[in-house]
Amino acid sequence: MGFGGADTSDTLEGEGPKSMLVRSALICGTVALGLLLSGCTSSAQPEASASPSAVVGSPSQPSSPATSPTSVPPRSPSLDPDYALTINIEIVGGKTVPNGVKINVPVGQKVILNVSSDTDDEIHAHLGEKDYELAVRAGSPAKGSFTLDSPGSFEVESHHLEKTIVILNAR
Amino acid sequence: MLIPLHGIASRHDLPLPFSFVVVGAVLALTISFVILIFAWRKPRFDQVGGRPMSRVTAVVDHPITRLVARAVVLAAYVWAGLAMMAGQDLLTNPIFGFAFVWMWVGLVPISLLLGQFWRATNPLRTIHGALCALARVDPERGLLALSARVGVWPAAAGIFGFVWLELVQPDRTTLAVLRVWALAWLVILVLGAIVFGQRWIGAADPFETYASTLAQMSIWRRVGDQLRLVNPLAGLNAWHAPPGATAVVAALLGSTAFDSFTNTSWWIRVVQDSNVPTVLWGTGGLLAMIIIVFVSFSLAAAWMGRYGGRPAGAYPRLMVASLLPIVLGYVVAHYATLLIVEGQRTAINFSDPLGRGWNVFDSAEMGVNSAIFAYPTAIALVQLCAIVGGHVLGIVCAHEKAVALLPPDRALQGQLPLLLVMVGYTCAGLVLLFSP
Repeated sequence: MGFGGADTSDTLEGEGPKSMLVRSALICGTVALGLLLSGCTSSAQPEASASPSAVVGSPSQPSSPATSPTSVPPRSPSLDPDYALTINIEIVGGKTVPNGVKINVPVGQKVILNVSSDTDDEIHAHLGEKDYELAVRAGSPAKGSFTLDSPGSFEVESHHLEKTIVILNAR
Repeated sequence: MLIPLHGIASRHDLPLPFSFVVVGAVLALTISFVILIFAWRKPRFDQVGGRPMSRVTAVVDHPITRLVARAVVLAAYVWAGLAMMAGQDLLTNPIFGFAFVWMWVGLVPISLLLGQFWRATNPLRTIHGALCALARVDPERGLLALSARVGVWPAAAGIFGFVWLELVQPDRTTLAVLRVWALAWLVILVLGAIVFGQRWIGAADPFETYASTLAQMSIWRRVGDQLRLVNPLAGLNAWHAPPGATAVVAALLGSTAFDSFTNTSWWIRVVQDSNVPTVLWGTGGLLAMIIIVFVSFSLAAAWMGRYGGRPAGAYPRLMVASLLPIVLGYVVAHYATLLIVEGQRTAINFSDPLGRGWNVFDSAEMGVNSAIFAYPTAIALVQLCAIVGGHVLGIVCAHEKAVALLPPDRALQGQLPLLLVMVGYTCAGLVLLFSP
């Protein structure tokens, strides 16, 4: 849309002593900040490598479903298939428990959904190439399971309420 | 395929590891101040420079090239329109990917690689031109004159409309909703072009404005009537932003940030617990993000008025080019995997617009190659480099503008608030990708 050169009419020659002062003050500030923040980096390193090998969700306390074991091998390919992540879902009065909680899981994890709802609903798990669907009848608990085959962030949603129940971050 | 609540993808990028956020923030801050302190003191890009490409210009400007390019693009839109008006109301209808992925995200690489290609082949211009040819009137002339002060303000409103459709509109992946929006877009743009002349399309089409704004960072730039292969930074520096450009850029940056923000568990929990309708939350949140970007950038740029010879209100528009690399970094970090994976799915579905088992372009049998998701660390690294790289280029661009606009002994103080605001955008972008 626009052609031609930039406005350069304000350019003047020379550099005042005030600018030198500002410059040296800025250098000090930058170095200090850099040191400060690189200190943060090293203390934050362990957090990144702490990926839980398997996680069991506690049903009624959605706030702590992703408690990671203390010592974990970096990537454990040998997962016990029986050791599944169970997510208990309650849908009451138009609200879901859990409510938009994020859970870290390893790739290959089997996930079991235990759903009880006071209305008919469908639980959708968006899993990339193949999605998972679980029909739920009012008042009768439903159970279903799927496996997270590849990395990514996957949403489990109540279709009728249009609400996100959990987000599974598979690494 | 089941319709996801958010967007059209069934799988999203993993959160950025926290260590990446910290490294990115440290890099952004350090490099910013290093540039501020040690970089050049006199404008370097006062000439666009580059290499004139007379052969390329001749080919690009040839009437046959223009005709073929316009015809191919128009045909693609007509084909997508067929899918929208007569196709099935399923996610396998290619129109959803066409609008939300091919058009909105695809215009980014197209504009960077091919310059003002979007503007040259905009089907709205083709339709309007054809109507004018039929009526034997000059497409440049409308019934009323459009004031130059209008700039791209209508397009800023249009971009808000599109991102509202993309991020807030309930049932956005149904044909009924999309038809209303698409027809409104077509009617407002073509009728407006008849009233105000062809210039209206450049002023009001959200897609063309987004594309031609990003094309300022392209390797191609037209100087006079000659195409040049240029340093994108020098090209960007030569851009005279039209009135409203700040609002356009704020809408692009703010909406991308909002897209991330709605993925935080805090936002999901609060909105889902609340009795206020989700649409109101979404509209308010989207508006708030855009206004935050607009106001913070405008104030920081206006600060330069203390040191320069222009009124403070003139600086936001003079400086807005420096936000474009940051917008680009955000967009790459957020939508690269979407473009690659959902872009393929759209290509597959494009062979069968009506859902009748057609295979017109021989793409229906192709599978979506989503192997890219098997490399989450590589994705995170690309996201980090995009955000930090965009930030660094933005700082370089702002510095160049500042030394050109302010007296040399004042350029540092003058650009400091803007630098801090940009560091803020970058850190916010990283934290939002970490998605707590």
